[in-house]
Amino acid sequence: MTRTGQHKMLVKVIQWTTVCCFVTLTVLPLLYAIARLESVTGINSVVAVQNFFTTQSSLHALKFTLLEATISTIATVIIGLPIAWCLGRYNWKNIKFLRAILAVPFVTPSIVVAMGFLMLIDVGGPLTAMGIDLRLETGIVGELANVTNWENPGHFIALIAAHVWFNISLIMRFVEPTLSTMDRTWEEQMRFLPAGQNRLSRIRNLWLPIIGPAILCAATLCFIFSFTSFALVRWLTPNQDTLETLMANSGGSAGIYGYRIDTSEVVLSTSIVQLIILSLAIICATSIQRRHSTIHAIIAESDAKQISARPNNLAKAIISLGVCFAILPLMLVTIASFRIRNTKTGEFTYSTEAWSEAWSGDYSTTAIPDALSNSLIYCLITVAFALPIGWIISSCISRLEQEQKATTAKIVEFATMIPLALSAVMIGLGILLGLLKWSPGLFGWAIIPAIPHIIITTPFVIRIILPALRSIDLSYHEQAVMLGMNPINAWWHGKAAFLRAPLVVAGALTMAFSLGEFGASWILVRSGSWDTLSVLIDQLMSQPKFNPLIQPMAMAAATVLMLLTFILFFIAERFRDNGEGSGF
Amino acid sequence: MSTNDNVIEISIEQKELSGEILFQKMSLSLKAGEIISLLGPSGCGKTTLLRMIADLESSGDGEITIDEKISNNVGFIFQKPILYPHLNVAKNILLGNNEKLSKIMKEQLVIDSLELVKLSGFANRKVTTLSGGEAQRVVLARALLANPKLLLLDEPLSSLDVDARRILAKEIRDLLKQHNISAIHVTHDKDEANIVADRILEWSKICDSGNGSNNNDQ
Amino acid sequence: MRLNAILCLTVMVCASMSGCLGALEKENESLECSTFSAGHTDDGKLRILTYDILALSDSMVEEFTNRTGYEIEFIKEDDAGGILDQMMLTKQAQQADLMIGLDNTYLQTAIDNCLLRETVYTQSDNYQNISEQATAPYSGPLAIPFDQGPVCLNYDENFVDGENVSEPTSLWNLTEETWRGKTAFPSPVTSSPGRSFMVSTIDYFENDDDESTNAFDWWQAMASNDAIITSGWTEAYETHYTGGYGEYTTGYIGDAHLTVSYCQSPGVEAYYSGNYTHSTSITLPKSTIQQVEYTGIINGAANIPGAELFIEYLLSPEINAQMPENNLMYPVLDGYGLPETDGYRYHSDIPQENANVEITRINEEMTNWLDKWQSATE
Repeated sequence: MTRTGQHKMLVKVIQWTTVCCFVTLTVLPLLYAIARLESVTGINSVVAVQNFFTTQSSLHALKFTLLEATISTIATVIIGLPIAWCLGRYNWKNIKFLRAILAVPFVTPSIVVAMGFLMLIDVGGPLTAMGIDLRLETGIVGELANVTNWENPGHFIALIAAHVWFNISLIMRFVEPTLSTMDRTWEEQMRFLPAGQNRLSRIRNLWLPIIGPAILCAATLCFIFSFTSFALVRWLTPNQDTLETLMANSGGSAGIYGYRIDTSEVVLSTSIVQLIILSLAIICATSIQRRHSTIHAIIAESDAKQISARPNNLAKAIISLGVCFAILPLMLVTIASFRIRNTKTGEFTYSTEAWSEAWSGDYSTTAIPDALSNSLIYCLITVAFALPIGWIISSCISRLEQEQKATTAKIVEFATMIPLALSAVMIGLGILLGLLKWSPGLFGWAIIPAIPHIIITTPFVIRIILPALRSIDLSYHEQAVMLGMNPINAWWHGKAAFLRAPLVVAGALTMAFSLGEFGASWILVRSGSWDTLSVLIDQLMSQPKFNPLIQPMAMAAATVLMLLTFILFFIAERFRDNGEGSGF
Repeated sequence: MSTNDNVIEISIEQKELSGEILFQKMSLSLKAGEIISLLGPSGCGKTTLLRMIADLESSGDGEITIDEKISNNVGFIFQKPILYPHLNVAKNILLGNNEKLSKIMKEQLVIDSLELVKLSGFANRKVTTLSGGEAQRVVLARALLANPKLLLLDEPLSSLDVDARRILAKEIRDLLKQHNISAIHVTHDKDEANIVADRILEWSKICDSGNGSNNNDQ
Repeated sequence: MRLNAILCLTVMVCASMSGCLGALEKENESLECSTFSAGHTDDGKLRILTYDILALSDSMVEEFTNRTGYEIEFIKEDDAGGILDQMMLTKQAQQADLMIGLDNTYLQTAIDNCLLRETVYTQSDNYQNISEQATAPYSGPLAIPFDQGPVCLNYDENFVDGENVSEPTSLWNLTEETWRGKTAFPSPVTSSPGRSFMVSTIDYFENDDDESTNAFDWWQAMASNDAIITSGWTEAYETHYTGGYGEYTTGYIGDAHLTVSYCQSPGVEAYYSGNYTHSTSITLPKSTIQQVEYTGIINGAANIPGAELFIEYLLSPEINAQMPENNLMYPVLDGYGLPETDGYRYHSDIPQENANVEITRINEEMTNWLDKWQSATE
């Protein structure tokens, strides 16, 4: 056995155990849930899928889901590409700050995004002030509806805009690093060649091959996230169902023998169809991201920036618009938390009354500090598990690739991405029904809400750590071994030290996702003492709002959640290095 | 070991890489305190041979015998200078030290090592600010600090300009001789080989080439 | 045994005419259901399973804790349906001691599935103070009514101004062109008031003059007339309905001038708006239905004494009288109603004649009704 192979057996055991445990944790509850649903409904998955395609409401939901996901993806690429181009091609003074701002939408909890966009498109909001009424669909939008016979075009446009907002940072994270770290001499060389004499030919022969995989990668992930969008669909297109909302509406009563068989059928058939479609999308995403790992020479970003020019006016305008687009909905949420309606006069005033109410809470509504501490506890638990699990799994995949076991590596990579293909409702239901089967007593276990968080965030950790691992030069570890370092020191200096920044980014992103997650937690037992900020916001927004403080209280909770997420994210951005070429 | 004071004896029938034969019928020996240069074109397997000697790769169909007095004390200098970016110059150098020393003694050790490679005053520099030549000198200082009995050098000067290569080649030879270190030096530059080595071995004369190229030699 | 059976049969026949079916059910219930073991340990806390919008004031809860020493922890679901779902799912390991919020369209399912256990409250003197209207759907020991309210169609008086648009005199008026796309209904599949209203339409159309049509023909016609179907009451009332507070909330669309709510909802609007509202109710006979909400001890509860005490507390006059302010529903105690403040009582409409469907029939036929409703509205 070679020097570097001496401890490989132990490492392999740890890696494979972790992979198996994680896949089991993900897949087993899902299998339990499907088995239980099949048992409750008396039909198998194949029949369920067949029934799906004969049910009007299900088909309609599928068509709408595919339509909105596809249009969202195309729109995100079209709008995001110019922003990524300007950011990557010019030398910006506060590049880290700009990147952080433009990436903020991605980590904003979806319920907060929904609220922000509702305010953006609301009567009296900025868009209606410009004559664009997407909510009541008067004016231009109303005419569009009449001319095209399109039902609720304003709601659809609002949803697409929200998805673009949410996913634009995917384009940033994948395309901009590629642009900013690319060897400039490639472009200069191309200009001297017949294949690069004009802009169109340079696009075809240089840019598309270089940033094409990055765009495809971002687009695939954008499709996946738009496909499983829940809060935005629920609030922005209330008259439409997607597969996710269909399942969410039925999930609470599914899986119970002799009770509401119809909802069990809906959940069974819809979840299988969703799983198939998303699995295909994930296979695409993982193989494209592998190819996206840079094959050309990457110069250090600092060197590239020395060659890049300062931004021109057009670039500044585009980035300014992008920044405004990124922060406007969130600012509106914060402003709304201070805006109180006088029920007697109907006028609005600004005060901190809602903040005081939300901060103190009552027995009907968890206080913000309590919800905040619950959120933090769950996200710390999530990070404590998701980071090491994700790291070990990434190491396993990377090792398999180095050992030329590409097929096995792909299988492991796909298996650990399965949570991305699952509805949050299914993950929650799987845990619920899985726990029921195993030990009902676990229902009272306070750590339960953290389990779906761990399942959902680990794939993101892998997506961050794995490209970083792939980019580490093995020579560093070999040199450490040759210098006589013990295995732990050799591992630290030769590998782990290069992962500090990606780990900080992964940790911050994991915390941000955990803070914002409520789809899966929603379906689990929710003791009042477990309420998180996301759950609190949803609870408040679902209450009748005869009391004019209810909505501002929800916005106050949303503001706290936003601030917490941003603080974590900005900390992470200080550590992020574009040179790894990773997505997130 | 044999009675003629060889510290290394190599006899490889065949070495494959990625399913293709890299080289065959390789034989090589090295005496104590000797510096040999392996001269050959890119992709012929020189780096792979060094890695096999360093036990970073399996020895294929053959045998590599290393004197037990030196087998645990082998140093390696990679083609690209491997300096850890999270550590400064001083800390990188100290990675070559295995003894427990006080802080003051460590500082002195770094000063002495840097002086040896003509980089006095570089202790607190960030490694990312070093030029190619400076980086390779720091790597050399670290390698020497580890007190190797055998040093393997894989084209250590290939990224430097001609003048820098000449100067550093001479310094490497002087340091190796000063410390009585046996060394195998791999290069495709004949002039460099002439400066560094006691004995130059042409690759084609010590083995038969295989079919494919060695990735490590890129 | 045989004599008992004959007696039971006799009582059953008589009871079905007199509305005393509840007494017999009590007997049957205790014979069929076993007691489940608790799914959690008794740590002195009282765990209450209820819905999100249940508003018990801080002072109410603190007062209970002060009096009894039991601290309360709430487990919240979305609505009455969510409460039943949760109890069904965790049947073998109930996490709560007391449920608050199942209504008369869900109760029988909970009873049939042995999810509730008897309370001693029905034996107390205070139980007699509960109004007949509240005990009419069910009067057994497994569930105690704590609030009630008639589910009504509400409409916007700014739209139904009596000149251009008249108040509907029949539900079939809502299928006319005037109302195309202007009605919003919470789905009976996912909403408790929506479910109640659907049940009322069953009775309404079974008792109208036209024997050739039934409720589902009407629902199909409504769907063809572009009725908006929402998942919950909040969306229908807040997002679509023009007569309520929705116009002040984010996300308001305001494309419906009629929706399902409670007959007292206009009163609530006035109460919060200083005695002003432009919402009112349709009270056509049998187009309304009395919704009664219950509290009950869960089968598998760990803290039964605490649960009993809370039922007593909830039904005490001082607390129950606050239902209109706290929960926007009528109290169940005789002699207590809506406050007069700011037009709460004045603007709350009284149904002419509520739809009357037995809870046992609701339980037996609900699945079938929901299937038909979904087919009709697809």
